[in-house]
Amino acid sequence: MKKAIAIVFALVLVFSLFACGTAANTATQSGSPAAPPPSGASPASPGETSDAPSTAPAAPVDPLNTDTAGKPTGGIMRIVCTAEGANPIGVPWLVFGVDTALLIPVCETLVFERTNGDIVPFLASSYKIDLDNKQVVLDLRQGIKFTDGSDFNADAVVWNLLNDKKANYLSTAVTDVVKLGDYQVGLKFEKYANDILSALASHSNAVISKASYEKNGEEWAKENPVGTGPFMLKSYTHGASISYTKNSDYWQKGKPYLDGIEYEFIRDVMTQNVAMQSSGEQSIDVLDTTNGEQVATLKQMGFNVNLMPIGPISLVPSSLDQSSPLSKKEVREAISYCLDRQSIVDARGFDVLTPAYQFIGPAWNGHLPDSYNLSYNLDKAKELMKQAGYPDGFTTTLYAQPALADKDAAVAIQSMLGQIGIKAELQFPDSGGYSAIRKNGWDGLLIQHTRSLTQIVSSFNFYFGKTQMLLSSLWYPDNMEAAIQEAMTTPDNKTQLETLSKMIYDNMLIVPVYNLVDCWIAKANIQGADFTNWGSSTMYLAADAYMTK
Amino acid sequence: MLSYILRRLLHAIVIIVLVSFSVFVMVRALPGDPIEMLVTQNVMVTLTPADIQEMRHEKGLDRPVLVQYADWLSKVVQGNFGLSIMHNYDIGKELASRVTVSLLLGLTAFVISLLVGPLLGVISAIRRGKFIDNLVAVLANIGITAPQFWVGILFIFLFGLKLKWLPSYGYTLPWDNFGMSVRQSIMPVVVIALGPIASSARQMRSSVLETLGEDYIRTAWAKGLNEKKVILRHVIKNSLMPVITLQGTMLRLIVGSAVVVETVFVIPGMGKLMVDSMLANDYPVVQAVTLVMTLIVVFSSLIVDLLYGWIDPRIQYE
Repeated sequence: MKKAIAIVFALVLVFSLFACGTAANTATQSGSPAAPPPSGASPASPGETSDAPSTAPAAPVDPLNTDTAGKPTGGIMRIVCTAEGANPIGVPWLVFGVDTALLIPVCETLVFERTNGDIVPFLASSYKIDLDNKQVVLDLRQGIKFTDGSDFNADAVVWNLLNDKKANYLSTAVTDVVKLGDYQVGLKFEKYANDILSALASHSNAVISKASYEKNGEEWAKENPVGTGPFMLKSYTHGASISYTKNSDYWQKGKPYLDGIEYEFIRDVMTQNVAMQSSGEQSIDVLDTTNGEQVATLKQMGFNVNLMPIGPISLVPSSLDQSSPLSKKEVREAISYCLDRQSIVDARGFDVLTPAYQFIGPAWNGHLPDSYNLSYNLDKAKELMKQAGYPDGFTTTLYAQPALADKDAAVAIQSMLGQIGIKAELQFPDSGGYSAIRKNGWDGLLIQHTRSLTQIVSSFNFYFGKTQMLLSSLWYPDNMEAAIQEAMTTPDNKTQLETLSKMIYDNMLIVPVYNLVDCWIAKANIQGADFTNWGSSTMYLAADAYMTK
Repeated sequence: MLSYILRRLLHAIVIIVLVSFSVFVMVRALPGDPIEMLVTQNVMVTLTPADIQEMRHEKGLDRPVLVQYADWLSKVVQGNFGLSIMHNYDIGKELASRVTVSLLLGLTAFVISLLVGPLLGVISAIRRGKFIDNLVAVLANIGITAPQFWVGILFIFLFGLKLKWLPSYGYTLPWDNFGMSVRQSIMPVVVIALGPIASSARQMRSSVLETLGEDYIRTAWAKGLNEKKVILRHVIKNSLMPVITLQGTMLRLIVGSAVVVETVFVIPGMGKLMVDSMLANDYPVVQAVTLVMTLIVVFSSLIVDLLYGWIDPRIQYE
C-alpha cells in the first residue's frame, strides 16, 4: 500500500511538472507580433542583414486632443511595469531610475517627446530656441492648477527646474533657469545643446506644487506627490502596489476617462503571466516587459502587443588594454563576422527580436546603409583572426548583463566565438557583480544592452562621451568626444550622427548582436494610452487611456 | 528565573551585535557598489567621478567600515534606521509595515503547524502501519523535501491559474479587507507551514510511539482506561517535549522562509524587502531587515525556552 501511495504521488508530481513545462513551451510557437518602429522612421528593406522592425507604426495620438466624445468612462486600469516601486515618488528630482514611470499619472512634464525626437509642448504651450539671447523660452499654459489648488505658473516652474538642475537632471548645457514673465520661463545656456528640450520630457523633470512642498516640507512631499496630472495618489505600498484615483478637476476637460490606475510590482515572469490571465480582483490589464519569450507566450494567448525598439544587445570589448587581443580592430571585426545573428534571433528572438549590426537602429538618425553591416561570414572571420596574429584564437571571458541579456543567446554567442578559436568562459554575474565589473574594468566582452535614447546624440554621449563611466575598459578614438560635442550642439545633426556611427563602424568599437524591444502587452479593451509612441519606453498617455467593455 | 532571563538577554545582545556586524561587513564584501548602481539606473544623468564621490561621501560610504558600523549602531539604538540608499525612503517606517505583514503570515503558519503537525503525528502513531500512517509518512516526506519556491509556483499554477480558486499574488491586511486577506494568505501560509507540519508530524509520531511503550501507559491500559483517555491524558502530554523543542527551531525556519515565500507570492513583507535590497546592494536596508529578523529569532527562542519550564516543571532555570 505504501508503495502504491508513493507511486500515485510521484505521478501527480510528474504530471504537475509536465503541466508547468507545457505552459513554458508554448512560448516558442507564437506568431509575428506587430513591431512599430519610432514615428517618422523609414523601415529598411528586409533581408538577411537588415535589422529593421517588421511592421508600420501606429498613428501617434495628440496628447492635447479634445475628441472626448464617445469615449467610455470608468474602470481601473491595472499595470505591471518595469518599475521597482520602491522609491517615494513625491519629489521628481529625488526619484532615480525606472520608478520615474510611476509619476506619469500624477505629475506632468512641460513637453512630451515622440520616439522620433519631435518635441510636443504640453504644460508649456510653446517653446522657442532663442540662439541670440542664448536661451530656450517656454510659454506656460495658463489656468492650470495643481491638485492642492495652487497656481501652475513661472514661479513654480523655475523652482522645479532649479531643483532639477541641482540634481543633474537637466541638460548640462543649461546654466540657469529664469522667470521671464508670470507664465514665461527661460533656460539659459552658453552653447545650445540638443538634449535641453528632450530632458524636459523626462518625468524626472515633472512639475510638482511648490506651495505644498514649502508648506509641508520635503519629507512629507516625498510621499505625497502634488502635480497637475489626471490622477492623484491614493495609496502606495513600496515594492508591492500603488493606486491612483481620478482627478475630477483635471485641466483637460472631459479627461481622464478612467476612475483610476493601479500598478502591481511583480517581478517573477510566471506570476506576471498568471496575473495577465487572471480575472476579477487579480486581473491585470497591461504588462510592460523586455522578455521576448514572455511576449510570444502572451501574444499567442490573444493579448495586444505593442513594441518599441530600445537599442541593441552588444558585445563590448575590453579594448583599452593594449595587451588584449580585443584591442585589435581585426579581432573585433572577426567577432562581428563570426556571429550568425539571424540564427540567434531565429532561436531566441520569438519573432520579436531582430538582428543588430549597428549601434543605432534603422529607425533613428545616424543609422548607416546596410552596406555597413558586417554580416555572418565565417571564412572572413577566420582570415581576420589570422591577420591579427591569432590564427588559433585565444581565451577570454563573456559577462552577461543580468535581466537584459538572454542566457541562451549568450550561450549561442559563446559557441559562435568558438568557431574562430575564441574560447570564452561565460559568466552570469548578479546585478551588483555586473555593476562592479563594469565599473572596475573587465578583461573580455560584456554582453551589454547599449540603449538607444530618443535624442540619439545622448546615446553616443552616454556610451562614448568623456564623462562615460560605465565602460571603463572600452577604447574609443581621441576625436570622438569632439564629434559628440559637435552633434550635441548642432540642431539638425543628422550628418554629425552619421559621422559618429561611422567612427564606431570604422573602429568596430562595439559589436551589436540583436535589437532589444520594450513591449507593452495589453488586453484588447485597453485603448487610447498610446503605448510605445513616446520617447521614454515607460511613457504613455494616462489621461487618454480608456477601457471598452 | 529572573537571573536566567537576564543572562539570556545579555547573550541576546552579544548575538545581535555579532550578527549585525557580520552582516554589515559581508554586504560590503559583496560585488557591486550601491552608488554605482544608483547612478547607472538613470541614463539621463551624466555625473562626473567627482559627483559620484560626493554622493558616496554624503551617504557616508567613504569612511572606514568600523566607523560606519559604530555610527549605524549608535543611530539604531535610538530607533533611527536611516534612509535607503537606492530609494531614499525612511527604513524605520518601511520596516514597521513590512514586519506586520511577515508576522501575520509567519504566526498564522506557526499556529497551524503547531496544531496540525502534532495531530497528524498522533493519528499516524496510533494507526501505525495503517493507510493513514502511510499517507502521513508520504506527505511528510514531500513536505520536508520539496523546495518552498517550487511548491509555491506549483500552487500558483494549480490554484491560481488553472482552478482559479485563489489569488495568485499580493497581500491585503485583514483590517483592510478580511475576506481578501484570508484568500490571499491561504497559499503562502500553507507553503510556509508545510515543512514545519511535516517535521513535527514525524517527530510527534516517534515520540508518541516511544511513550506508548512506557510502563505508566501500560499501567493506564491495565487500569481499564479507554483509548481516548490514555492518549489525551497520558500519551500526548508526555510526548510533547521534543515537539516543542522542534517548534522552537521551526519558528526560525518560518522567519527564514519569508524570504522565499514573499518573493514568490509578491507579498510586501520583510523577506521580499530583504531580497529586493540585497539585489540593489542597499546596505542600510539589508542591515535593518537582518537586525529585525535576528531580534525575532533570538526572542522567540527565549520564549520557547521559557515554555519548557511551564510544560515540564522538572526543568529548573539556574
